[in-house]
Amino acid sequence: MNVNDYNKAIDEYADNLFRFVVKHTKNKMLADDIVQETFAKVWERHEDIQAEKVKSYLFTTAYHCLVDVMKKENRSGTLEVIERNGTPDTSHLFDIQKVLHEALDRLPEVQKTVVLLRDYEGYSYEEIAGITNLNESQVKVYIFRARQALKTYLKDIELVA
Amino acid sequence: MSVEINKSNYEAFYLDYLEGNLHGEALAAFKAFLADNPDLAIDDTELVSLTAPEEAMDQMEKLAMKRTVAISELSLETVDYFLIARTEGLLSPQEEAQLENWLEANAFYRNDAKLYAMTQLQANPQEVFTNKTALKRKPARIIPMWITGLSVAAGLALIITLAIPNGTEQPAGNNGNQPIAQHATDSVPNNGQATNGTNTVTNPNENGTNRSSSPGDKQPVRHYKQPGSPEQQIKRYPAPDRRNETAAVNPLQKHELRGLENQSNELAQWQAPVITPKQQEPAPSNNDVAWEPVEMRNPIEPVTKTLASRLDTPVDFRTAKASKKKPGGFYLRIGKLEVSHRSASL
Repeated sequence: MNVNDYNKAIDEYADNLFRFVVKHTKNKMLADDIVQETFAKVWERHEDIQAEKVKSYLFTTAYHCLVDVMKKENRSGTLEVIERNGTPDTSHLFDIQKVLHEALDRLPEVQKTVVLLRDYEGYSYEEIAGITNLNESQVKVYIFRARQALKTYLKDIELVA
Repeated sequence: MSVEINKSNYEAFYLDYLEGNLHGEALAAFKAFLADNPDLAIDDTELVSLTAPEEAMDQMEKLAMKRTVAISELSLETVDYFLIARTEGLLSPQEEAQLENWLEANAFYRNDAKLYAMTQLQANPQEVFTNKTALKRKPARIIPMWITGLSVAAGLALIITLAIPNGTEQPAGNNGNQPIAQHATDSVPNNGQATNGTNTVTNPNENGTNRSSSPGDKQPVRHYKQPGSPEQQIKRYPAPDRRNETAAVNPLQKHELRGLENQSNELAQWQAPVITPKQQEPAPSNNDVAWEPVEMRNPIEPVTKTLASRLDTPVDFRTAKASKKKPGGFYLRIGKLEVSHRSASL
């Protein structure tokens, strides 16, 4: 991958990467840092990376950065506070996508990761398995569990409404 | 019992009661409260079983772990799997049709099917990374190799120029304008001494003896003229080491003193040319002096010419024999490093 490929990858995937990361961190500044770190790591090895595989490499790197950050940050401390502070009011709950994203925040991290990679980026189970270092069956099970949980959440909201 | 059970706090006691965590006095007090308030009692049918969904989850997980799941396994227990599989795009058109038929027959699950179809997340396009420009890299400038080579050459030239304090300085062993030994005209029989009349110098070694102690070790002779000749360019040479040299020796005198007893037959046949010095000049001092080469004349030019024409090769006037080898060599100086090579002369 040359400089032009790298710059093109920034144009094409930086937004996707940011959305993926910010859904986990709930903190835009932290998400910015992770995206920058991800691209810096990719640049360090840009000569070894094929241009057509850069997206997968970016998400894999971002995921590992994310896991490291999650370990360093006290997930139940700093990030939770940010999450509560950043949570908007519930007047939008009948917007399906917003409800779904509310439900997404309640999922375990691994389920959130796989369902985001599946829905946001359209990755196959195999590709998600490669990014998250899981096997295909695990990915499929996590996605099915996540869908079931999201459906239950939607049903509860529907009943309330 | 310290806390009285009433309508505001009975729910906590009720949960403990249902979970079997209420004992003794507290249990008796709660039962008495329920007897006094029968409307608050929960019917068994109202209690939600928490184990049934777990079983359904396990069934779905089992199917999810399979590589392929036949539509024939569709049932009330496995319907969640197939509804999610349809959302995930894992069903073939035929399987989707069969699932649709099953839903026709089980309309209760139509709502679940609709909710599962809505569980696909969509990214918010307004959520963007704003710092892309800072991440981008500028393409590296490509400098042609020839420019780099030129720069190196220029640098070397500059270093060499600076390393030589005087641009006209030449090494003692050679003069850039003067060959190490000129063919036939400016070389002399090499017996370790120079024979340019009075203005030639010997080239002693450290012991003060001539280097060419053996007839085979022939040394080229350089002819110098002291500075002062304005019409010619003056060359500066570092003075040779003459610490052990007692005095400048006239090479011809020295030649006579040595008696020529060690000369080879070839050398013995040589008749020293009579070279008349232009003027008597003192021997070079032990300081840096400037010398200028003096062209040597062939005193027996008719003889050597005749011989040369007959032999079809140049003839050394000192030996009156055909030249066997044309002397040559090179000299290289970079800063304090000097490298020179000199071919054997006649």
